[in-house]
Amino acid sequence: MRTELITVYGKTDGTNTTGTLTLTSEAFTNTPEYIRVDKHMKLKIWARRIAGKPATIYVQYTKDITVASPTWVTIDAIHLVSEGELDLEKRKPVIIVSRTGKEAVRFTWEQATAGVTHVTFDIEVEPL
Amino acid sequence: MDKTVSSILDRYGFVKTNGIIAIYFPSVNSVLPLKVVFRENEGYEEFTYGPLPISFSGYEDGVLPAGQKIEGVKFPYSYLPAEQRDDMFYYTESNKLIHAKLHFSPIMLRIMTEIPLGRKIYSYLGKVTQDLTMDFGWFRGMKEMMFLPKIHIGWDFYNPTNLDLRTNLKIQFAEYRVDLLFDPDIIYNVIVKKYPAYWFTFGGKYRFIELDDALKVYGIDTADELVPMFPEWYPRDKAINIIKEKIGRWRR
Repeated sequence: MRTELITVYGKTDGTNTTGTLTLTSEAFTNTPEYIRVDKHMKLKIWARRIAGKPATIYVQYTKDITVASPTWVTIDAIHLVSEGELDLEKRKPVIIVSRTGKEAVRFTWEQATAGVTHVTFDIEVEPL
Repeated sequence: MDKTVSSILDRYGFVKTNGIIAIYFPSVNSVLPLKVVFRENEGYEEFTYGPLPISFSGYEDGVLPAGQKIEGVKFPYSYLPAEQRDDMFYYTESNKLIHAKLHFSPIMLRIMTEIPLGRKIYSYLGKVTQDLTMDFGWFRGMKEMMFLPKIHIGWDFYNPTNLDLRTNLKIQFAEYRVDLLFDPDIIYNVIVKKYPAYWFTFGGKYRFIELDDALKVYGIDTADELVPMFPEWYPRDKAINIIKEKIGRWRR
């Protein structure tokens, strides 16, 4: 079956050393802080690009986005050691499978010194 | 001679000239056998429709907001005459059939058809009606459809994500010039799958009056005059006699 390849972008705010990326994309018009995956769909993170000030970017998922305080679990991390650019494309993606329709994924950052870092993910959405 | 179905299909999966189309109607367990006289748009099968014709207050056109659904959508086309403008797949001309593959994006959309417009066609075990918010009764991505004359088909869309999705529709279609098949031997062999034909199931198990309107355009008064689906064990001579009786009432 056909899949959907989407590029999402976010950037650190340059003020706080931690935070959650606000996402933009040409595929949607709002600016969410997470992506909810519909029941029996998979979200695959193929490529990650990170450019700017040093930062660690975490990929986190929750089993239930509908509760008041979701529990987020870190499943991947990308680290830009020094100011510059990092382009990561792995043979195997990070996969989040939605079994209940309540699963969601978000991207957070951590920096020793606050600064602006641009982050892009190429994600693929496909039915199970 | 290659007698497989693939021999009558082109690279898009549309039926070539002289091929046979068998449209099966579960509501009456009967078949409409048509012959493709020619393809009016052969070589020009692509239709770049664009964003879905939907609009929500506060959103740009074609965006299906997070968690929202919209039902009964038809596909307007402004270049058509006024009486057809709000549904590009609605027509009244006889001897015509439109066969289309509708590619909806993004893949996250849940989609359902209403055949005819306003009627949900499926209920699980006859007890639980399909719905976009339930776990069944909808599809994602691509839908193949035969558009019969004088029938409006409705399309329902649901966005189950938290993203306000920008939508798109690409269509591949074949505009056939068709004739009813009047040869009882060929019709029988099509039904028992001994003669290659492209089979398509239209509508659900509930009968609807618009089907009779569509068949009248082809020269058949009601769905009761269609050719029944004979089981394989049914005696051939009896089946042929029934077919002759049915086609004897069709108007040429």
